[in-house]
Amino acid sequence: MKSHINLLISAVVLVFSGQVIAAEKLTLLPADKQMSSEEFSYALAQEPNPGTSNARVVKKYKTKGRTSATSKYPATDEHTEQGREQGKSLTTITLAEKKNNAGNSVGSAKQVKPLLALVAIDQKPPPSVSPAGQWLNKGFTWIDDWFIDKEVKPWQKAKLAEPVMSPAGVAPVMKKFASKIYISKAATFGGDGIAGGGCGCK
Amino acid sequence: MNKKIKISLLSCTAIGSGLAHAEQVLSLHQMQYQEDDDRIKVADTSLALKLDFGVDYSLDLSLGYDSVTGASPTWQIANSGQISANEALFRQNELEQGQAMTEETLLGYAHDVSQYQIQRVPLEDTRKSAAAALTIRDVYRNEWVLGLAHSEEDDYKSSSVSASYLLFLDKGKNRSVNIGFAYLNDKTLVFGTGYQSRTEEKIQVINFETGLTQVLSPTSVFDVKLFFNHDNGYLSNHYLTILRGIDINEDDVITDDEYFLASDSRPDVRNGFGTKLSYSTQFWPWLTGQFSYRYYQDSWSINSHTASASLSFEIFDGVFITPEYIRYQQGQAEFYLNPNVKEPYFTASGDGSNDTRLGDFSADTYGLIISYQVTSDWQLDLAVNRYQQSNQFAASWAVMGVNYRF
Repeated sequence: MKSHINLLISAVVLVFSGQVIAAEKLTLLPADKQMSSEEFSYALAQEPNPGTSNARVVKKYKTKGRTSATSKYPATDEHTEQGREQGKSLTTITLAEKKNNAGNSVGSAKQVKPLLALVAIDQKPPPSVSPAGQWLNKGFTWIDDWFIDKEVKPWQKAKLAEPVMSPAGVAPVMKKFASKIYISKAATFGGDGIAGGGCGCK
Repeated sequence: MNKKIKISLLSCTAIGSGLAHAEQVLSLHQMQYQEDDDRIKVADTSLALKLDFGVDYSLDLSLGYDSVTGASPTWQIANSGQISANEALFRQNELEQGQAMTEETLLGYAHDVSQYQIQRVPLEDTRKSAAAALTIRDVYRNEWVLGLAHSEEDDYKSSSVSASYLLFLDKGKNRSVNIGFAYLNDKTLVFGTGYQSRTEEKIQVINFETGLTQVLSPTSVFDVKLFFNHDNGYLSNHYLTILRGIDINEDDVITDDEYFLASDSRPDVRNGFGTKLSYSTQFWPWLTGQFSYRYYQDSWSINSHTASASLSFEIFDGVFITPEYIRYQQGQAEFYLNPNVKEPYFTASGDGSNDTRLGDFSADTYGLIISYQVTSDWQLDLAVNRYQQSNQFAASWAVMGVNYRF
């Protein structure tokens, strides 16, 4: 129940803040360059929105151990890129129609989802790799050459994000109990993470 | 509208969306462990709470309580409670005489070596533990995990701190390295000569671990780890005993009346290292496999190989059945002597142990885990395991538990 309330609050805040920010954007522009709210929605829709695919995955896993989301959202590069290109061309056409019709387009704005784009309006794109990570990665590029056929994109990681793919599996506590028994019945340990307390059972 | 209000609204949005993505999990599990021949029974209860604060912070809290009852086999003197006062005095004198000739702790004396027998010594203990781990994610989504843990038993206390860092190396977050460090400061109560006293001894443990994780495909991940353990302090088991031959009359011959019951004695330092390779793959959406291999070697000459395989079948939506098999092979410590050999005796000084856990053996574990996602909020877990060593030791355990997401 609480998660539903959280979702509802979040949705309300998203909608409200999006509308206010959009209105403010309009007021910041000179009067001759101000756009109508519909035009602004089109413009926002054309901005890249890298977080959309991840948001779908997260939402799905909130509610279920695993999901069939992967079948709904194509996983291959070709399909995804194709979909994006289709989306862009659709938006471009409707905006052109809008200009030609001098503001009389009907319903085109409903074909895009500006809400998530509104959140990111004043945020810089998140940096992807830290300088230390970039530096360290230079020592591992041979892995790409030898073992990686094709880079896995973020939107292809739905299956990797499933709990069953985590090292501890769908019931992580079982590993903890088992580890406790093994360290008390055998003389060796290590390789399963460093967190944890000591035990006289050793 | 000024800039501050806009920032506030964005903050509200971020918090709102963070709450939407947050997942709090409360879980309660209990394990029942039992060794064959009614040796040791353990009831272990674990209560855990996982709290997400937005997307940048997570806090894991856990409490544990376990009780141990039963009996553990070790060398003892037969009928030691049925001796006369004079006999007791004689034995005490011999024990003091023997103790004067060795730095190792002697615990008892009998006239004849045949009076020493491996008997089950009753034991009972409880352990209370608490642990907390805070995860902090930076703007690059790299993670710091800072941990604290403490546990107490009747004769053993342990406190630990740990820190680990997960660093992503590429834009796609397909490659990462992990570096972890833990320090344990433990204290144990140890028996003195003739079980007449107990002193507190310290144990310090340092664990270091580093690893590389690589996403190979949309359905497979490979992981390699290197680890190093350094143990320092009282590493013996003061509940376990051995037999030492001490030449009391100094005739260069150990006769049957010159054997003493002594405490288990191990080196004060142990350095271990190893590597672990893991591979996870999803063959089909309903079948996931996890495979791993670990090699271990230490300064006590113990080495081990561990191979494990598990297959998770999602037989219905949200119902997972996971059979698991683990094969373990261990080489013995250089100071270990099998207590079942004809003359399992140690010299007056030097390290020595009859603890079969330091011996040469192999072990098989057969496990079955069932996990049932009843609703989006509730998950039930059940596991049964059978563990069997080549030295005739065997045990079984079962775990039941519930997880509540809110």
